[in-house]
Amino acid sequence: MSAVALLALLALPAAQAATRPANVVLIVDVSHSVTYGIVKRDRTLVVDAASALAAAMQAGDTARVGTFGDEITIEPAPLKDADAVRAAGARLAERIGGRSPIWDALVAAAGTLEGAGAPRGIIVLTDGRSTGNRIGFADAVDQLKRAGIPVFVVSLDKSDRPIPDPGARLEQLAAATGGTCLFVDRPALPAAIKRSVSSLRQVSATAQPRRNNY
Amino acid sequence: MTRLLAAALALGLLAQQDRPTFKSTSRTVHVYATVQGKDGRLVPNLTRDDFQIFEDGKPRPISVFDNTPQKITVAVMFDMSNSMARELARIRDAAGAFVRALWPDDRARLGSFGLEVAISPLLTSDKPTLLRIIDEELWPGGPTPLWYATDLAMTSLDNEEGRRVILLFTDGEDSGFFVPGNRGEMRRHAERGGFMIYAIGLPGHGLSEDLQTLADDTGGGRFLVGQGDNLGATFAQVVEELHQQYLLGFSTDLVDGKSHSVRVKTTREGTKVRARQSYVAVDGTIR
Repeated sequence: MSAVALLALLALPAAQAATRPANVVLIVDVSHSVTYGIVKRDRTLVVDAASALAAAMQAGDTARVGTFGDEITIEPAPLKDADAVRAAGARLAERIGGRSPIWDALVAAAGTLEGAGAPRGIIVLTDGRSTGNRIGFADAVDQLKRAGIPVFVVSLDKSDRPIPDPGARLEQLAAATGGTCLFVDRPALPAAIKRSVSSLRQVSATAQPRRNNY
Repeated sequence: MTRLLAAALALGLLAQQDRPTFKSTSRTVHVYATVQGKDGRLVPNLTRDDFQIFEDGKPRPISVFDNTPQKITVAVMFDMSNSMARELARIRDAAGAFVRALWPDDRARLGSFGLEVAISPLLTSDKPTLLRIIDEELWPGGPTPLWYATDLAMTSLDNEEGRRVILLFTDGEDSGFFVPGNRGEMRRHAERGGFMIYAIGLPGHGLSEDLQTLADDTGGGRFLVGQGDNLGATFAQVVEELHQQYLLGFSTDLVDGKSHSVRVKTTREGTKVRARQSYVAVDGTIR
């Protein structure tokens, strides 16, 4: 086998994975601190986020949309077309307010990806002010790492490094799981989600699906 | 004749409606009492004979007496409004001291109010979990939705048995919320549920008169901490006080759904008693 052929063979799995359909879960923090605080009474947050995800979908992709506040709600079945994703966002639009169980929501989202092949991952839209969780940050990161699920954070909190800084944990989360962390203004939300989906396709291209333990 | 019969029936019905409702089953009204000496120290060695209980001003026999340490079920709510941001490290330390002072059977639920009113779903004795919540879930910023937070804390303990305590840590007065708190409804909730409200205040606005009255009426306590004072010691003091309370009780036949006054006294000179000042004679278990 020539060196060129060998190189081509080695490159094949990554190239194939990059074009393989992606499995994405988008979860949106609709707690008071996000929907009433940093972005005042933002009733269109979920709709806009779901629309941005829908616009970034490619043929064969599957997506789930969810929210977390006083309740964690994630679409049970994977959605296969953009219109269905937009409709899911619209259904969740009225659910705003409450606390911020970010870590619980991530673990729940990871559970829905059990058995799904790479590329797969979670996009979470939040301000990082976690409250009302059953599990802690370290446990959540540990479970996500063991499951091999990268987390792509889109943070709507661009405030100048408050003390304590909720963004610090979000960066740790992304780094530990192999995802990314973007800090954006509200108008830049659709672009940030598109970029996260793109990153998810690339980062997950080399990742192997692992067994989930939930 | 028919008219007379109808009038008689109507009068009979009215007479029935005017009558107070009584049921033969007497139930117990539990009262937790804190007794302090002149020096403010807790007085732990009193007997049943040292106490007197009055219901609506009338003495009642004490049917329940227990002076063994009582386990705590408590929801602690931390004010995280804007003005508390500079105190966060101190608050975390104090909250840690509170958790460490708890006994193994005690259970606590932690929450905060500011940008959100958030209360943990966990009511637990597990100290590492409670310390983790303190470390991860306190975020300063926002208004002071004190009454909404108090009501939510009580709701989170509504289904718990025994003594239920709400400990509020705040530096200000209620400043409303996106869903405004209803002070009147919150007070009724406290009385109906027999909750004990404790409040620890920081300098600034201190504790509002409403909050002080609420603490007094429910038999709880209130503490104002100075800038240089040890906040953790005050939290630990609350835990100690709760463990040193006396459980008293008296029987009642009232089922009128109304509020009735309760007063507890001791015959021991130089002592002061704090206990709930009323209860609601509901049909069913009186809290």
